[in-house]
Amino acid sequence: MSAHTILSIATRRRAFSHLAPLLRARSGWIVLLVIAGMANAGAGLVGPWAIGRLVDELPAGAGSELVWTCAIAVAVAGIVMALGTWIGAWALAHIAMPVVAELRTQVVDSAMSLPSQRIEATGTGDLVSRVADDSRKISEAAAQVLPLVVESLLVVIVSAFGLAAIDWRLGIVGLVALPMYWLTLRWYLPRSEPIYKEERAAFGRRAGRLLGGLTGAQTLRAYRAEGGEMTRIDSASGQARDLSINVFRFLTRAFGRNNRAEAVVLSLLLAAGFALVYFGETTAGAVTTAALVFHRLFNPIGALVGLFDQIQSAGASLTRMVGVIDEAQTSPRRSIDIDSSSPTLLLEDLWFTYDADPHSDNHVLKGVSLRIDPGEVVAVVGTTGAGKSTLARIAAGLSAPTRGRAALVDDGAASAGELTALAEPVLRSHISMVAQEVHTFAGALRENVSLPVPAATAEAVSIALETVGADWVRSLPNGLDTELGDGGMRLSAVQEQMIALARLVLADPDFAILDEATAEAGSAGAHVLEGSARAALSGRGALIVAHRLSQAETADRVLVMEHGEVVEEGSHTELVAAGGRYAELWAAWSA
Amino acid sequence: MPQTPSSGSKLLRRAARRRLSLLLPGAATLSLWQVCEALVPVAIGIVVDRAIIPLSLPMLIVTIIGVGLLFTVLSLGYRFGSRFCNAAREHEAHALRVEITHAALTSANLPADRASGEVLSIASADADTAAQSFAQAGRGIASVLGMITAAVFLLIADPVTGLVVLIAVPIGLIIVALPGRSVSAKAGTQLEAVARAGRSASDLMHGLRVIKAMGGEPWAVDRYRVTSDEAATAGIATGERTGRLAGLGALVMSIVLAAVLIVASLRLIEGQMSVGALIGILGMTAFLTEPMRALADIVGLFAQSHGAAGRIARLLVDIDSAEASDTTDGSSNEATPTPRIGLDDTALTVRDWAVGAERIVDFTTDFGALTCIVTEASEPAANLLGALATHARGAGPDTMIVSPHTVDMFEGTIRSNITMIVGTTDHPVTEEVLTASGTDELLGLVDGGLDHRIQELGGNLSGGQRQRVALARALDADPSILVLHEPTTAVDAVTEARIAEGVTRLRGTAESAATIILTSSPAFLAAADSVVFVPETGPVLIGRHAELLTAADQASETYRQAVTR
Repeated sequence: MSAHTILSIATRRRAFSHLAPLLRARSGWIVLLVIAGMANAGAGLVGPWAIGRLVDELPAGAGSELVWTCAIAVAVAGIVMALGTWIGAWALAHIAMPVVAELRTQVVDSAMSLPSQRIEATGTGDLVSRVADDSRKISEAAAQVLPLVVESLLVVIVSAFGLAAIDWRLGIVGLVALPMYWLTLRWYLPRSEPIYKEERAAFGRRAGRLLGGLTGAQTLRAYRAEGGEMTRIDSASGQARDLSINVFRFLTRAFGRNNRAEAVVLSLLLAAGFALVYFGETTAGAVTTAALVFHRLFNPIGALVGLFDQIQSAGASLTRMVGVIDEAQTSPRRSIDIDSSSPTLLLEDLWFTYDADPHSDNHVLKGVSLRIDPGEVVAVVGTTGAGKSTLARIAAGLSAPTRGRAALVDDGAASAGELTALAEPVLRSHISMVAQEVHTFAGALRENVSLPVPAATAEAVSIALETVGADWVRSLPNGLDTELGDGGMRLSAVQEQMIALARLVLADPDFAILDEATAEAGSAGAHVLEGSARAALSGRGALIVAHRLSQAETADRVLVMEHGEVVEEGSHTELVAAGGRYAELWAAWSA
Repeated sequence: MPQTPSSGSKLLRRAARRRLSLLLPGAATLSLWQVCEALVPVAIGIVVDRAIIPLSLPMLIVTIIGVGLLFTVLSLGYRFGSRFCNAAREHEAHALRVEITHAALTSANLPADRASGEVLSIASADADTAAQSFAQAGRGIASVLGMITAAVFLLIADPVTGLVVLIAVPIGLIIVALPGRSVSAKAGTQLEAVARAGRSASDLMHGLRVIKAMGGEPWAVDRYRVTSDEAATAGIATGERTGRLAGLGALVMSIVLAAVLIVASLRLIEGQMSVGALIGILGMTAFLTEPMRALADIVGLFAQSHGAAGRIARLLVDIDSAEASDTTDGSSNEATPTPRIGLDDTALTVRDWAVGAERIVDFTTDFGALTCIVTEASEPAANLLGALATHARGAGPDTMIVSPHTVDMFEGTIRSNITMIVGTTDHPVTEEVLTASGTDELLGLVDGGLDHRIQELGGNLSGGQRQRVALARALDADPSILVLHEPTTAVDAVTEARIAEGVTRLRGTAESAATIILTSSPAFLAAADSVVFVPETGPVLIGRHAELLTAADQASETYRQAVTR
């Protein structure tokens, strides 16, 4: 079991080597991109070249033929630039978009195949930010930043060669630009990182405060406590504003350095050109061409320097995404199959601790044993913190016990499979769990229900919904195609829970683990849901974490847990008659 | 109080008015920058014409100093001009954000169709986008002035060529701009597709535990792959179209350049123009495309800002009108009349509470008493809670509080969440409150007890724990009239019994305190001085829990059904 509690981050080298095979598969497009880009950048040199020739030859008495030659050259170059730009952008899109799509799908796939236990240890926040935010950043960078960077880079490289081709000495003077821009970056990057980080943190704080305040508006109004929260929001927003203003001031100073480099190099080119012309080494036209070529570079170089931190931040997102992919690939494969039509769920001497040290004193479960036969319904009762939910997670194969065994066994003992070693599809064909949190996914009702069986027919989905008594579905104008989730129809707590139970019916496992919180549905809703759950469980074995004692009342067997141990076990009537802890609970409940 | 801008345009005009002191110097200085940028190719022409061709060293020194000065003005112009515009933008975005949140938090009721998520997106993204108009205004004015300078230069340098440039360049840009709209629409679709993929990923991650518990991994990956591939396809289409448009732009501008080159060269051959002017004119022809293209972009971006400003204005107007209707007739729903709430020194009375099926309920809760209300349908409860909440707002927080069922937690500590005082570290919370709400058990489990950190939205507490803190909050406020709505749905039965007993004891000992709890929990019902039972149909019952349970009629049978679990 891994002890570190954050997801790993890949090294830069590793991240790029992960991209390599994806890029190799598109090497044809890459060749096309480079050819088109070079042609485009090269054609861009024709304009300055033509002007240079005119400067040299017109005063010397050249006629209109030269003018026409130059004009045609500029027009032809225009055609080459047009095609180069078009084909280049087309090729780049064919490289970047599928690679990015593949990458973000891989991350989602990897996040899905991470062991649940690992996700619990790291918390879902980091994962959400990597899978959603980082892949969005990469996608946006690929669409908006990458084309500009690729084009600028090619223009700068080709122009540098063009400058050297006009006159190698002018080319060398042009090289002065390199250390100057490099110094700008050296000055800029180490300063920009912390202030951008600070700015992002301020944005995060502002977003958090806004979210907290606006979602809590009802409570704030009820307690007339809007004032304090508004002051907090104002100050968070004000801080973010001040930081943004500072960041921008800093950015304009960096641009100022760029201007300085432009002025120095342009002046040097002109002065060196003067000297070369003076000594008869070159012509005024060539110097003009060189100066105009360099002038053409102002924008691409500015773009490269200005986009540098976006490139860096996209790189950081990439390493975080590849980190998830790597982690999923190195996590142990579950591959065991068991051959049994109606196995028994066996939990033996389960110990569990959330601490990294398995010998810690801080155990949530302390030697719980339980056997659930096919078709048997067992309810677990106990106060908050008794270990019920942990037991349910282990029984569902989502967590591995620190000590002890959780397995599906056949009575003949011919085959036995540790739950956490079973291949996912095998495990889920036998055991399925309705988790405590309820989530309705953005999408059609039918898609929401068919989660465990994507290929399920509309009829099967309807039957599953009917089984759990979701009569409200019939009155939906769009029926199973009704859009749910963000922006779609809003469901009540009861309806959401019914969807979760319908998923269970569709999954049709041998054992169902129920840790559902029916309480939010209110008393009337809970009654309805208990009926739904009973229907969903019919014919299955089940482990029910009973949040309401009425769920225990109808179970075949009741387990009373306290502080990680089973303190009572028996049927409802037996336990009530025994006058122990359960009887006490029951008395409080049915008062 | 200043009037709320009623439309996006009015909002932007107000914004421009109140940031005029930043916007004017910003636009002026940015224009200086843009003019200098236009003059760079002219300067190159002058250096070649005056210094390099005649090989004059003094002129070289003078012109290079000129280039240095030009770049200094250019650099400073951009630096300060953009800073002014950016400051205007940031200040306005902040002001709009504050205005929106204050309106949303202080208004009696957000309009029903405005979810907090929408307000959030308007207060964050739209406020930024609307304020973005300042950056655009600065750039736009500067672009126009830059172009005018260029035009003046061209006409002075050579009227004939200048005229050719001034006609050819705009025509070329129109040719490029025409298909531009469809491309920006496509780019919008692509951004939307990427955003959809992002939302889908986020949605799947938030439901990750549900997916893993059910074995929905293949389902999730397949779903995501579809959205992601759609985004990729849209991205390829946009990339190709953007490239085609950029290519067309390059072609058109090359042809314009070729045409200007011919005219200018012929003028030079005729001796009508100097070499320096030729370089300047050709350089500037290439330059002119920039401010023109910027202007075209700005028009598109401004449309976005205007749209955002419109959304902000609509929200503010909605909040205003919700407020107005709230104060005039006290009800936004005419179908069901609002119950009348009366409060004197001895009791709280509710009159004319319409509970459907033409039934009207009146009841009274004396000070020192606990009334529980059980409703089978949710509308009557919502109706009563709405009326009580409206009344509570009119009274002070010491007089009456209606604590909502939805538990809201705020970043801070358990203490600050109970006392509702931001940042408090020493405000006391009595032992009685902690015990009665069951918060004492929670304090034993967490580091720091009352000063345990609470994350944004209370993410680090379980539902039951948050409910207990919320109850402690209500008890700590200790108003004369306290209304609770299903306060213990997420706690276990044993704790619930303890809480019911504690709350009854705490509220019962105060002689001037009345408590109303909407709940079907037998623990509270048993402790109540009177229970009001509103079935979906049939007579409304008022009495003690024990009496209602044991009565032999049909109505009591319905009651037993509703409260037994």
